[in-house]
Amino acid sequence: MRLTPVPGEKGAAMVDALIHEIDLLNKNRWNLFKEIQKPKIGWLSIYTPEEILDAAGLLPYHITGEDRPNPQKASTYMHSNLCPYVLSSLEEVLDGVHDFAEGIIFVNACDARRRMYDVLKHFDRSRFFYILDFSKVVTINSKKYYRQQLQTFIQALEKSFHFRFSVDALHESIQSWNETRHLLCELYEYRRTGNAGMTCSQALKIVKASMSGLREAFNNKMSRLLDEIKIKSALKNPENKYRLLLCGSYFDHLDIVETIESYGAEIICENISIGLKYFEGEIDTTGDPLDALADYYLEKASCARMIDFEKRCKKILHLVEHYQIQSVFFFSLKFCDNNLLDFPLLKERLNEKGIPVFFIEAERSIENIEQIKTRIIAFLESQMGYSDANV
Amino acid sequence: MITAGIDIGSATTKAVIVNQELKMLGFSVMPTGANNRETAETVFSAALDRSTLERERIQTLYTTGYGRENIPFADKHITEITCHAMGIHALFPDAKTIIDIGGQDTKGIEIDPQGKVINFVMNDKCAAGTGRFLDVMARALGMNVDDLARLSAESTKVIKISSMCTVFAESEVVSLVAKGALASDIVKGIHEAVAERSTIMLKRLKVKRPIAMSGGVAQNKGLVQSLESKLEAPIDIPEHPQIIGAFGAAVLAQMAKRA
Repeated sequence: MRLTPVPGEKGAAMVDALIHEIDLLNKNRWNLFKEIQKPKIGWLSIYTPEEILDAAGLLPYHITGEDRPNPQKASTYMHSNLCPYVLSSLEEVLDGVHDFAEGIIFVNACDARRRMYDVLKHFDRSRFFYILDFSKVVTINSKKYYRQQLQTFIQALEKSFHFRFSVDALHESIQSWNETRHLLCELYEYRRTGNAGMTCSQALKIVKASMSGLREAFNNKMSRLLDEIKIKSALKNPENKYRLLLCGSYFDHLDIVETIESYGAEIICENISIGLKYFEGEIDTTGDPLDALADYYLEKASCARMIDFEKRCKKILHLVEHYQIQSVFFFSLKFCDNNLLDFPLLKERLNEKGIPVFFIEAERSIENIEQIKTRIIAFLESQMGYSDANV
Repeated sequence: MITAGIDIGSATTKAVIVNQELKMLGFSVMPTGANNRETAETVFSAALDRSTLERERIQTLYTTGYGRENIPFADKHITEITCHAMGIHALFPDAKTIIDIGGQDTKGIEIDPQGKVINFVMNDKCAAGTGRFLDVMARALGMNVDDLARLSAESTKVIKISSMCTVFAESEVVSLVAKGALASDIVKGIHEAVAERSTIMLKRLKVKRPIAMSGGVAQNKGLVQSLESKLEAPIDIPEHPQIIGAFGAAVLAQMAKRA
């Protein structure tokens, strides 16, 4: 299989080949990490200020838990009725998947992550486990507090990894992360207009690759992908499919996406942590970088753990309009209290605007996929009709 | 024009043959077993025999139910939610809410005046409150599931079954038997428990009258009475509630031909 497409190769094949290359950054990351002589450090929340870790000379990467979708040992340390994503992540750590890493950074984003930090801090004193406190409200004082948290975090990193913090290095890291954000925003804009020529499954793979820790390689490959999409979009008419917005908790259930796509509908935008929530907005590069980080991470409208529902709801209503969404698909992992509390409020607001909402609550590893498929298709039949549901 | 519908459910497979007046010409029901393709073929042949029609007379065949995608001779497959909605609508055109209790799931469906699904709810945690739940309870009492309705009618007091988990409820029933409780009162308690669970789920919908019920469990009059009491409304039951999904599939095939 050729993994590096040559310039001049036409159309969809070139785009698909580049997406495949980007996907391999995530799939092969354990091997690719071996070639990079930097201490590696994992993270679990999109509120992790990766820019600081990069500026400290570390390689920050997202822990996905996808190597252990059915955790067993994790239940010895934490209740089994906690977030399945966190349990899978803990299982990976217990099974040694992350033994190469110097540690893991947590953010006080939810109880499950907090408990995982407690467990690792208690049972493994040899590595760097750190939890950043993070306010649930956005005020001048909460930003000041978070800035102090960042300073303390930097001091802890300096002590453990023997580096001297430099504002210039942080500026450089912020620019690199902002570049990723711009590239992904541009991609989603092409998806909005139907010109990206890619499925939701492919978009999820791309965003996962952006979190894999191989930032420079990702930014280079994404630039090439966007160049190809620009050429391709000028040559084709956008497809006209039934448009869905995906919202809710951590989601990487490709079998659900395939079920939706098999019926002729398309998830146009994913307002989830491996989607828009990760890369939305940008960090200001003109002033004090710690102030800018505090502004960026606290002002994100994204996560259901933040108190300001109105801000989050307004953003989703904007996405519905901007992406010309016909239905919203809200997914929640089991026991994700933050998202489960958000759902009824959001559903009411969307229904008031005449937007149908479809809800699925499931485990990380879906064993009862047939029942879920029935529910998804029944919803699509009710919205799209069944005349095209051919065998 | 003759059409057919086959509903490959978790417990039983049903086939129905329908003419253009939406009259059932023949139907058949049998346990799904391990090979749903073979069962679908057999149940379809049996329905054809009862309708005294040759297979060539069937112009369109739709499948529904959990095994719907496994049937190679189908023209189309449609979910059981849409099929039950259309099946009930064809028999009770005024129905607005449908309760369907099948082998392993319970559904509440809200439909519009054309029989189109507006909203639906479905059990997504476990099989408690479904046909399987009743099978397990009947086994714990050492009787056939078909005896439950008759026994329930003989009850003089309701014994509350507080566990909603099938496994715990079975233990509870065994304990009640050991204590010497009357089987009829235990059965009534089981029906009340299923009705309670179904009603709680249904209330996530806007339950509007008239209400109709489909699925094999609707044959249990004792359970239907408990449901009517909880919902404070009468429930319309078709003559053959178990085959409504297959009937709806055949009706949808008729409608597609007319379009």
